[in-house]
Amino acid sequence: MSQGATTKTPTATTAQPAGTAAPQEAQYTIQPDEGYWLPRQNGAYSEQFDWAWSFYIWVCVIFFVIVIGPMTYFAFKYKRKSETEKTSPIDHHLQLEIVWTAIPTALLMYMFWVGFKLYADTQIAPNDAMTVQVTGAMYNWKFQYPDGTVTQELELPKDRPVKLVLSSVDTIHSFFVPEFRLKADVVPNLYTTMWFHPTKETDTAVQCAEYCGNGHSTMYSRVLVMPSGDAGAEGTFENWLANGGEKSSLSPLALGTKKYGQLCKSCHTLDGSKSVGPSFKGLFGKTESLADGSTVTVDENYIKESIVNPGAKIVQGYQNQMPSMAYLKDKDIEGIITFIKEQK
Amino acid sequence: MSRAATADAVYDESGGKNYINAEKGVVSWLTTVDHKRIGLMYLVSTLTMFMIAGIFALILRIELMKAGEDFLTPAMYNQAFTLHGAMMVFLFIIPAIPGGLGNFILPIMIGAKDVAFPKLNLLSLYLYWTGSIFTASSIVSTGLDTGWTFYVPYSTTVSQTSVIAVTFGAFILGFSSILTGLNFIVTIHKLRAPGVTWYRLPLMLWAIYATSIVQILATPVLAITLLLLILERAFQVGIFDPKLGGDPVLYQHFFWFYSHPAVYIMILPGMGIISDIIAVHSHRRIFGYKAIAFSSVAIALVGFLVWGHHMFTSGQSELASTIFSFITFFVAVPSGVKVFNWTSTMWGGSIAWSTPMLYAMSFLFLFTIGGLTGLPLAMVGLDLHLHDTYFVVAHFHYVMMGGAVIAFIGGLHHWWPKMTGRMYHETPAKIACALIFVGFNMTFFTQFFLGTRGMPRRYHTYLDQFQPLHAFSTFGSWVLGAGLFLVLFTFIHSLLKGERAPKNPWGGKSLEWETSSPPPTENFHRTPVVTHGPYDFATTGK
Repeated sequence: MSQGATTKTPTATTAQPAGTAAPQEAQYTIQPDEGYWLPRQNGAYSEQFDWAWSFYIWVCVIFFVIVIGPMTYFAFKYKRKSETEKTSPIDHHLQLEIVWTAIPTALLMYMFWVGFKLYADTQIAPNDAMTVQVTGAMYNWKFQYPDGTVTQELELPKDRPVKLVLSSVDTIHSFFVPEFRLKADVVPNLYTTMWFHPTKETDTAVQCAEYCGNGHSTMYSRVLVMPSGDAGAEGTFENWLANGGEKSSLSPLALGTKKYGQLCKSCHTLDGSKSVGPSFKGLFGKTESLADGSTVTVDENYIKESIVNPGAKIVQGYQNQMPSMAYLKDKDIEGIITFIKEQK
Repeated sequence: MSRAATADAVYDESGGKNYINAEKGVVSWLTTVDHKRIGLMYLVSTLTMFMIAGIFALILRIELMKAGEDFLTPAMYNQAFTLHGAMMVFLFIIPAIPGGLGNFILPIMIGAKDVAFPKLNLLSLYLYWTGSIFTASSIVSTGLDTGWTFYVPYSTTVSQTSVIAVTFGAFILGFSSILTGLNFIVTIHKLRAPGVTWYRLPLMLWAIYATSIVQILATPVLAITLLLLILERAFQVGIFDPKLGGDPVLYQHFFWFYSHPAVYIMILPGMGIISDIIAVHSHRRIFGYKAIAFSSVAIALVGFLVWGHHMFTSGQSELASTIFSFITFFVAVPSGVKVFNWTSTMWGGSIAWSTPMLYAMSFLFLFTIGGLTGLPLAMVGLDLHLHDTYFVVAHFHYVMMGGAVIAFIGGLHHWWPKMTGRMYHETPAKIACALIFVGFNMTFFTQFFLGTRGMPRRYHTYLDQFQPLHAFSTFGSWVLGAGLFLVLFTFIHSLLKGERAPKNPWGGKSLEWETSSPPPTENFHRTPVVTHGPYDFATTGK
């Protein structure tokens, strides 16, 4: 697959976000909070995290004052008045030294405990968690749901635990959602996991947090948390999933346009110019000469075959570079066919 | 007697000869085995690297002032941050204090003529130069875009840049570091003048000693790791790349087994400098000599057992993460003990508001923040959010720059009269110190907020919501840069126009203040006999 990443600012080039009640913006955002430090929290883990963070900040402030307060005071109080001044002979004080070793040690042990407790809670997912398979690649994310639906953004039901099983197809990435306060490296040849329990509807960003090359800083995706409910009701997660990861109201052409943007755009132009693959302009109905000398007329069956088994009939002058997209649903393929027909 | 008159008297006593004018010509410098000349050449070389790597940093900050691409493409940006990091770590911070200041001051502080193996010392310098050429060659060839950490499989399969040249450079630099460490350990054991007992060593030397232990024990692991990386990249020997049957997480274990102790190679000598500056410029016995000395050794040893805290999100086992988190908190204890002792040393002292002392107080301020911001990174649960964000970037800059580099600059001012025989002008030096302090905090304190709010590191562009903080950080970097250039200006001015330095401008009690400024080639005309400790200042009695 070609490297889809570009040098543009991370505006949402990949998708028209599917529906939640909130109005959608083109830009990814990490929802802020009233405090100075952390973004908005989402889920039980974030609350625990934020408590541990406040605890830490207070420890930090107290120790900072204990060190820098006296330092500043001494700097003024004992500022040198003459070169021959004599100074204090006291060069050790056992009790004091025991106190300032023992108290910090005890406090540090407690800090370890707080950090460990928090960590333990992030590592064991409940049994009823929905498992989503996450695949990181240079430079995009792919999400596969238990029913086989594959999407480019992560949509989740509110108030239901979710477990992610992450892996990479190339180099190391890291899956980072600030709102959930979680991050896990995405490593080739290794499955890492993470779980969370979103309690708020949200539209927030996934960022790659492990340096992975030129597209690292544009390797975003979106996390949308939507209400959970009946598959028949519009706007619910179940409805979205039943429609193959789409809003049900999307026309085949709109669906095809979206899929083009997500999957085809980096290699197939719309203006007739040659790229990694043939342009879609005027493609439908055209007769193409193939690499093996035969010819084929571009119709519905040829397009479908090229999506599912791209190596079968390579057009002359091109390389066999396209990955199979056999995971696409018939509905998606029909959408893409409709879209290609429109490119006259 | 005026300061200048004293200086002249000393100058005459040594017959006008010192280590600088003893021999003339470039060849005499390139073939010297005098530890002071070698130290000076290290200083000039490492400071040059500091300047180049610092200019990379300023370029990065300008690119980051606004979101989107301004004048660097992502590829150029990635090369700039990689070279900034690699050069700062391998070519500046690691060699600068031991190789530069340590080389110069260590033998004088123990009353020796030179280090134990003077020719080996020169070899270290040549190895440093050779390694530097390999590393810096990437600037004019295809660059380097792996990050200073060279993580696999990116560095062995994806990167199109000169990974082999730079890792080979770092491999050679490792030998320079090992040989210097070995030399210092032997020198401290065998060449102390009569009366220089272990507990009469200035704390700078305890720190250098602890550093040397880390250098000789940890660096070979890095050397082997980099060699394996080169084998994999050049000959597809499968060690780390999963496609060849290797394990990328294994690389991280190997790498941090060296690179976490390397943090202490960088900060321990800085802590040594601070101990000396605070005692000398407060004219006071150091508080808790043994506590500071043994905490250096403790940090060096415990530092070997905590590398896994760089890998809490890497996919290492939960048990490993928990154990590494636990041990990490024990490194905080000796560091805290040191800070408390330094503050206590100021109590009841006679504190000169001299430039070195101002740097020492900056150090206390910045290093305390650097240390405290390490704690949430050691708390595994909090690290899951903070790891690989700007919070980490800010934290390690507070430790590396706010700690090690500020101490180094303070130490340069402290021993400058001894090394060059010239005083510097206090006013610009203090203004520079203030600019560095303000600029540093503007640049990096801002980044704590960026990090906790979710800004990942090594990003060429970012979400619009981070823009104001990034812009502020960039303005800070200009103030910081101006301060550093003012330091350079102050030093050049001192070399050209500075007043002659007396033997002991600060009223210090350790041995380096008993020889002339600059010292003669043999350091002391006759071997000194030491009858008191390094911080034996006049006290109010009792």
